Parts: sequence; C-alpha cells; structure tokens
Amino acid sequence: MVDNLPFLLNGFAMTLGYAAGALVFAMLLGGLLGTVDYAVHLWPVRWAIRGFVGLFRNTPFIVQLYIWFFGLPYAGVQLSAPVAGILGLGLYGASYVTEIVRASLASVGREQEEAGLSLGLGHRDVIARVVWPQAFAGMVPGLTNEAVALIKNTSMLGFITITELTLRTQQAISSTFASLPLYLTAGAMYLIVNVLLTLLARRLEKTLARGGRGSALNLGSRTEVPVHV
Amino acid sequence: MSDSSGHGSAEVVLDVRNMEMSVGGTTILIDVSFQLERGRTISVVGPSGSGKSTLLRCLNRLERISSGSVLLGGVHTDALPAPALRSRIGLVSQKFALFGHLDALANVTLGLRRTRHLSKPAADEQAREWLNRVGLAGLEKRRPHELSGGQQQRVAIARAAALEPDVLLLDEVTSALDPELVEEVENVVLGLARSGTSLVVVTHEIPFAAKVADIMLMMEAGQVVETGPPQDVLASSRPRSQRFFARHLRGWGDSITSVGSAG
Repeated sequence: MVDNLPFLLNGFAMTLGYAAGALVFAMLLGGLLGTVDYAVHLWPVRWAIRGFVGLFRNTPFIVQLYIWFFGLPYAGVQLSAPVAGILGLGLYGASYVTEIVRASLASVGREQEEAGLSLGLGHRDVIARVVWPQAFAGMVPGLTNEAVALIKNTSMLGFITITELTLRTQQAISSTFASLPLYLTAGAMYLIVNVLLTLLARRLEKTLARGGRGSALNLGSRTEVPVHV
Repeated sequence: MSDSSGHGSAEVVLDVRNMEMSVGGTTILIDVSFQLERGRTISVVGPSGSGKSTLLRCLNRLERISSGSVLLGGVHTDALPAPALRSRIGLVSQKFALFGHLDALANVTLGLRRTRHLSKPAADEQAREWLNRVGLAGLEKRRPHELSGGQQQRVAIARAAALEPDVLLLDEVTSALDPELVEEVENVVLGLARSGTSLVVVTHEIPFAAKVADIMLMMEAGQVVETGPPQDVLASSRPRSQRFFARHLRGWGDSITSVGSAG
C-alpha cells in the first residue's frame, strides 16, 4: 500500500495538471461564449452558442471523449491523448460555464445596462465595467460546482490512456489486489482537493459580498447553492 | 444669443420635429414637436401611459423613433452615434440604477473617465464638486446600498449632470421615493434649473412641474395637447386638461398658479 503511494501521487499530479488545463480552457471559452450570448443580439450568433451548449450538455462526457480520441481518426484526424483529454474536458465544462455566465450577467438586470448606456458609455464598456463586476459574485457558486465536477470527470481520462489517478489506482490494484485501501486512498485525494477548492470559493464569495460587489444580487440565497464534494 | 434671460432670440438647444414612435403596430408617440431654449426647463405632464417616458427614452435613443427628427444645437442627431448622442442628452430614470459595485464617487467618475476621457484626478475632482452640489459632500465613499433613496437619486442626477450634457432629461426622478425624500431631490432639480442647465423634466408632481419649468407640456395618448407657460397650461379651458389638473392639484388651492408665475 505505502509502496504504491508514489505511484498514486504521480497519477494525482497528472489529474491536477489536466484539471487545471481544462479548467482554464473551460472558464475562458465559457466566459467568452456566455458574455457574447448575453451581449450580442444577433440570431446566428445566439443559435450557434445555444447549439454548442445544447449539444455538449445533453450528451455523456464519456461519449464526447471517445469521439475526440477514437472517433476522429475515422475522419482522418488523430488527436494525441493529452490534446483530446484537455479539449474534451474543456469543451464539456465550457458548455456549463457558458450558461452560468450568461444567467449571472442577465440577473444584473437591463436597468443597470440602460443606466450605463444612457450615460453615453459604449456597449462593451457597459458589459465590462457595469454588468460583469456585479455579476461575478453571483457566478462563484456555480463555477465552483463546475470546477468540482470537472476535477471528478478527469477520472474518465484513463479510458483514453492518460495515466491519471483513477487509472493509476486500477493499475496498482491489478498488481497488489488491495482494492479497497487503494480506492479509498484515491477517493481521499479527490476529496481533499475538492473540499479545499470549495472552501476557497466560499471565502472568495464572502470577500466579494463584503466588498459590496454584486449588491444588486441576492447573495444570501445564492450561497445556499449546494456544492457536492 | 445664448443668454437664458433673453426673449425670442435665445438659442434653441433641442428641437424636436414631428417625432413619431411605434412598436409592433402600436403608436406610442404621435407628431410630437417642441423646442427647448438653452438654459430653460420644460416640464412634461400627463396621465400614465401618455408617452412621457417614451419621449425621453427616444431623445436618449434607448428607443428608436419611427419618423421625425431631433436637432441638437441646430444639428440633426441621426448621424450621431448613440454613445455620443447620449453623453450630450443625458437621462436620469425613476429607478436611479446606481452601479452597485461602485461607491458614490466612482458612480460619477465612470462616465467622466469613459466618455469625457478625463484623467483620474480630474474626474475625481469634478465628481466631488458635483456630489457637493447635490448636497452629498462627505458621502463619496458610500456604496449605493448605504445611501437612502433620495441620496441615491441625487447621486444619479450628479452622475448624469457631471458630464455637462447639452440637455438633461429627468424621468419621474421622485416617483420611486418615499414622500419625505421627494423634496430634497426636487430642490436639486430646482438648483440645476436655476443654474442654467437645459432640462426636460417628466413628473407627476404638478406643483413641482409648474414651479421648475419655463414651459409646460401636457401629453395625452402620445400627443402633445397643451404647451405654454405653466400658469397658462394650468388655466387651460380644455375640459380634459382641467379634469387632469383638478385631480392632481386637489388640496393645493389657488397657490399653484402664483407659484407658476413666480418662476
């Protein structure tokens, strides 16, 4: 068991690396698409974003992952496992982040937007300096949920040969047969990182609330969003 | 020319000609025309749904007009991009909508920095001056939720007025306030009017509309039905106008006509 710990920790590091990469990708893409979805009133743009969100949220992640890694070669495109892993996790996460961002921006209200516009601010200024700062506090709980889900979903990257924590655990079990201790150890590692992340997010939320940011939102009810760890 | 005390020769800052506005087949404004001389105040009164707020939203281009034209300082505004137009024809709405994440000072400086491109120290100084003018000196660091409704509305007025627009539109700026807070905001508006800001004031408070304005405009079902000096409009012989004023002036007796002519 203890002999296997470095082996598991190596997988854990891999898990964290993929999670971080995919998370950055998901947040950036989701943030961009959510903002565009909120701010741009052109139906082709809106339909494209809705299509993306609908497609990626309503199909299983594992099917998407298989398509990136095992399906695309059929069409002559061979992605490496790391690329397929980050892309798969990132796009799947981005579809959720898009919705969280769009909904939070919308919750700030058209009155705030009109107040900015009526001063003569440009549309981009209004989104960046009036709407976004007030929406951000409201996004934190949803984005935390999403980050936690994404970290857990890295456990499926083993299916496309990435030696992350879950695959490492199975490999260790196949040579030692110590299934329960090893699975519990792996579970504890996921648990620790997700609990830490959640606590950190709670603190951020409190700081934002104290700063008066998002005072247009009812933060009281939003902090009750359950975060599953 | 621009002397606000002059007669006839005063410069027309805002010239609205045959403005019409309709949404989905419903006509909201019908052939609205009026002129505002620089430094003067027009008050707009009339029943709910008569198009007063829509008129202001059209002038600030939050809504598009269907036909007619708006001239600002003699120049057609069609060619002006919306942000440029809006920074010259400011609008304060009844729901003050202060930016919740910014303190009072930053609420005022945002427009100064982004539309007037002032440096931070210059914007801060100008914002302080305006907050002082609306009686909020010392409250610069308060966030909107730490201010009363009347104080918030005064910040909103300072925010729009600090840009020194050619015309400032005030849309029922006291109607969302508790009765005891109405006067402090009305006094700020009176101060602006007396210091030569060109104002269009939409209000339900008829005595105030008479007191603040040089010209009173009455709207009904999207049309301007009365226009003239407040005391003349209030003394209108038109039965519907008489009924409207009678309803809104109950309890004010004869004092109102004297207030109107004193301005």
